[in-house]
Amino acid sequence: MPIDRLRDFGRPAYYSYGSLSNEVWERRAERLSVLMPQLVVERHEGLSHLSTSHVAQPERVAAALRRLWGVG
Amino acid sequence: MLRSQLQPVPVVFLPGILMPVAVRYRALLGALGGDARPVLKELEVYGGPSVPPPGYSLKAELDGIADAADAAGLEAFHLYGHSGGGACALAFAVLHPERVLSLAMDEPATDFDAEDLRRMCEANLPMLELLPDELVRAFTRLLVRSDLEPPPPPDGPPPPWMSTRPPGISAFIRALVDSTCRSIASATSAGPPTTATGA
Repeated sequence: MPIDRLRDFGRPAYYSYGSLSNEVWERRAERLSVLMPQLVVERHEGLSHLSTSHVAQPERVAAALRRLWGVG
Repeated sequence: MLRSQLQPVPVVFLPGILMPVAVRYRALLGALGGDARPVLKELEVYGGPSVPPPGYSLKAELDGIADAADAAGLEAFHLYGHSGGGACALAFAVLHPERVLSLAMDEPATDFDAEDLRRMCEANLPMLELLPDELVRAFTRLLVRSDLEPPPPPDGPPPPWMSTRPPGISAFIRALVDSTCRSIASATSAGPPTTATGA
């Protein structure tokens, strides 16, 4: 996968992960932020992949998505 | 302009490898109200006559996203994916950026970084040899922080769709990492074992 092409992806981008999830997701966020400086990264304290943000905190994720989409 | 006067935005939602898309996003869609015009797209690994369908690949997942958007009459759309679906969303944005108005990912299964894929090979492929129940337990273990234990499974019988998940997990992981793993196997040294990753 030519992932470096993301450097030219100028569209809004968002990434969420939980503080109790495997550490790989924080590292992935860091790498993707280098490729996409516009990437908005949200860390959700106390959540993990098994109780993830859009299930445990849907209103917070919905608000983030509205900002990403430019609505509301 | 009031929110009620705005048109809902077109969004393709992709689930992870475990939960069907309607279950995965029920709470989020409720929170979004009428702000999104959702296209709920199941992963292609569960979309054929068998799990996985014949000839299944990552390309099949990406073609499936394009086909679902086409069927909904969408030339361009917002894209949101979780876990396995997050990796597919990311790959779709790489290969078809002109169709993606925005990209949102929740804990994508990989970011396609070479080191990330190598770690997935080392951590995940031995797991794929396990019996179905053991595979799901081992897979779940990889999803939480390395110093934590995952919670026990919910009480009661598993949902009907759960029986397709072990072959779906195996096929999806292989689709993500097969080329990387073949490269490692052909190398003279594969490096030290590493800790977990997820999909």
